[in-house]
Amino acid sequence: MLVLNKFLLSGIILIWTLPGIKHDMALFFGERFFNSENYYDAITEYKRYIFFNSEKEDDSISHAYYKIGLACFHLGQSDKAISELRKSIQAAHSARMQDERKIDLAVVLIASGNPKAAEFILIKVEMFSQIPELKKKAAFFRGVASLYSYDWEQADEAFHVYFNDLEERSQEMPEKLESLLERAQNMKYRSPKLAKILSAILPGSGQIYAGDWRNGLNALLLNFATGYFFVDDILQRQYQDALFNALFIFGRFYRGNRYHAKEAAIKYNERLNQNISSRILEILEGKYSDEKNKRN
Amino acid sequence: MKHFKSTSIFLCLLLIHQFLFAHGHQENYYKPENILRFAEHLFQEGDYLRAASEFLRYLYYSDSIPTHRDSVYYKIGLCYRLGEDYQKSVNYFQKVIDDYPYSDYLDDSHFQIAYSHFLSGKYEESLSFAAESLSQIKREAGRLKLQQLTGLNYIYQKQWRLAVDHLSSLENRAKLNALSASLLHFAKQGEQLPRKSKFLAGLMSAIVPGTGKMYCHRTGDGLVSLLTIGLTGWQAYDGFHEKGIKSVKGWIFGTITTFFYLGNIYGSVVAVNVYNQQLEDKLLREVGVTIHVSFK
Repeated sequence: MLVLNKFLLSGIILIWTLPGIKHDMALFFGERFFNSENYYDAITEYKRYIFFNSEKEDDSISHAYYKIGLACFHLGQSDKAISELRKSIQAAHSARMQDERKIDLAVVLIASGNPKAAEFILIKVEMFSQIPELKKKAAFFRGVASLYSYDWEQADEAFHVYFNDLEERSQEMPEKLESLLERAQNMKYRSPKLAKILSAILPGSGQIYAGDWRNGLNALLLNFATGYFFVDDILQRQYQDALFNALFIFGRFYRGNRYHAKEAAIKYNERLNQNISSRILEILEGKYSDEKNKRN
Repeated sequence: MKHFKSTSIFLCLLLIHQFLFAHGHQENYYKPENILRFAEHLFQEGDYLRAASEFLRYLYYSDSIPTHRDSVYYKIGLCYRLGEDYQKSVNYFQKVIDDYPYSDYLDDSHFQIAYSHFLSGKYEESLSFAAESLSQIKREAGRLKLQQLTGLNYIYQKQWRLAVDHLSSLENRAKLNALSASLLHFAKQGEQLPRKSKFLAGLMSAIVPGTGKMYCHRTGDGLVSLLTIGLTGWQAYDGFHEKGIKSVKGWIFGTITTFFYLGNIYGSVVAVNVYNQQLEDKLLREVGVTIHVSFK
């Protein structure tokens, strides 16, 4: 009898102490819809929760805004997602929750193509957060944001903070990552200005300088052929033909050649950046998921 | 045995208390009046389509209660109109007209249907619905709004004369209304816009290539046409002048010149169309701002 009573009493105490959040129907439905990827209805339920519980002084309102933000992001509404995540930061009561939400906001900003704004938020978390674990997490995502804006030096510095944390000496920055970041910082870019000048002096040479041999040779041949007719017209004193040629044939090819030389250099640099950035991200993805698994 | 009984009673009481406690602190979100409050909140927030779903939910949950169903259907129509789902908005306003012949929202529903057609660009449907509805509207204010909408439909169809006639034919009191006066002003402005003549532009370009475009304030385009036709024409002349009618150069450039010349005339007529349309669109944008304020 005594055993039964104890069992019943502990059951009651357990029910008694469950947090209010578990009982809430709107949040329950919100989570269910969210997990089944029905984001539209999930937003409705979270909004319902916020409307009826705006006076609550715990982090549940912040959580609801956070989930609305994520749902909006999944629905492709990045601007709304950002605005809801900002509300989530404002509604957070604990410093920890505020910092976590700031990092979430930064991640959404990176994913929606605004790494500079993300970097700014993450720097603030690193500087002012009291929680070492979150400072570290912010450093990691700041590194990622810097990768997206191709700021290799910043990325290197941020990943050093993340991997070589003073309190956790056991974690070392992966060698491969370090060497890739070093390579990225010493990458030799092509100057669009120089490419344009080169192509102005010898058509096609700017494209060749930017690694685009095919278009470089094509530009050289075309400009040579049309330029020959232009010079020939002048030598023959057929000035009308020369003018026509200069305006509509040779002139166009020559201008196009200079423009494409500049574009080729820009594309070359972009390709170089993207290539190294995606290789670094691959390494980080592996490293991050390993750590997550270890923690779980 | 006695001890067991008293413990069980205590536990039952505790469970009942727990049940009451858990539900006493939580708002019942899905009570009809709470659904209605939430729907109104979403409407105020500008989340119209979600608000429409909540108003519908309210009707579903309170099948036998509300005596003001017409007002809820009207609000749903309004939500869909503001959420730019015009077909659904028309359906709900029509429901008010069909199912609630003595509703206070009857006049407004008539107007809203005509306005929804107008907003979806179905000007003819809007006009015919407004004409049919005029006799069924009891209040003078409602009739005036429909008449103004009729004038507006003419303006958006660019039937300036009809718009001026219609708005001038309103009764004196209606004419004194600020919106009627400004619509009449816009209609008159539309009639007197400084439009360009297609015939004149074509003729000018036929005499001196490019001048038709200059007449439409496209001086750069005009000069390019003049230069192109002048140079290709010169080449054709040069060819025929040197080798007579058997000149290949003369025939090639002659054909090119003919295409450019005809294209230049056609282009001038198109330029007039574009110019006139831009003028009218600019005026319609001003009208749009005025009605946005008045008809909201």
